[in-house]
Amino acid sequence: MKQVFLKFIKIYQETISPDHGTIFAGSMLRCRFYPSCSQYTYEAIERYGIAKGVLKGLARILRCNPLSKGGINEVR
Amino acid sequence: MSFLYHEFLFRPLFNLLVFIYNIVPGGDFGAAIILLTIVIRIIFTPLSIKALVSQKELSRLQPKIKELQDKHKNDKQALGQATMALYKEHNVNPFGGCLPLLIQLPVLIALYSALNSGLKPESLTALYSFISHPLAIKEIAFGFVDLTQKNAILAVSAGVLQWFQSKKAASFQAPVSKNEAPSAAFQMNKQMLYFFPIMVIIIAWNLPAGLTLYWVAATAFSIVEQIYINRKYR
Repeated sequence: MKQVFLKFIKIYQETISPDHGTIFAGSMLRCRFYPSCSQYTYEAIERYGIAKGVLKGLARILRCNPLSKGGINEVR
Repeated sequence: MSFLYHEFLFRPLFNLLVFIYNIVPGGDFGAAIILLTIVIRIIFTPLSIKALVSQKELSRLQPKIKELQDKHKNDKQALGQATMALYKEHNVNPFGGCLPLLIQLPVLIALYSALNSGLKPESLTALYSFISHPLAIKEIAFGFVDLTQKNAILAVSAGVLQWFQSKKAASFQAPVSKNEAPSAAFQMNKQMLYFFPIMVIIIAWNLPAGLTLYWVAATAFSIVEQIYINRKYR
């Protein structure tokens, strides 16, 4: 199950993700953080499992808004 | 989750649409769709203008980002960190971030299903009590467009407008000096110039004309916005 989630994120990253993918690579819409939200979620699921990993990912996406400063923010 | 979606996204949009339909002289659902699109886009205009301006600032940094990409070709982590440091140094940031990108999706889906159900009499039960209940919504807009059917002319118009919009957007982001090599991102945008409009036509081809009409109106609005901003921030 965990592998399914991780694979899903990978497919997203390789296709439509504006940060990693090829389709919208030229677009100026980007994540404000490093690592990007999808990569962050990927690492969080790897480390904490699906439930906690997905929650951590969602929290990160909520932080990734116009009011935040962005910058470097690794999974802890 | 689906309750939240229904009560806070679908119902308000649907009621606004029927409200506009009720007040439009002649009761034309096509005109109501166009007006709803304009209302929604006007609400988001301050945000979209801000986004366009920050894109312009970012595109000024493109040569430096390119340098970093060459320097850290094999180390994605170093590249990410260096890019962030560059943004910080120049005090720019990608506008928005992931949340605004993702939040558009449910709004768009709600709008689509509001447009769709506007044409089904049974869905009128989703109306608030203070919105007057139209007996039926006419499916024919402007006297000749059946909003429930596919419409090839509208689909192609959506694609052509999309192409025009991308072209205007690309000229806005183009490198300032002529002898400067176009950046990788600019090259990519050039490919997008054809890829995206064709995708729009393919998707719109099978959609009911009501939804395609929304797409046409929204893109036309973006073009006006882009022309305005091209003039102002040259």
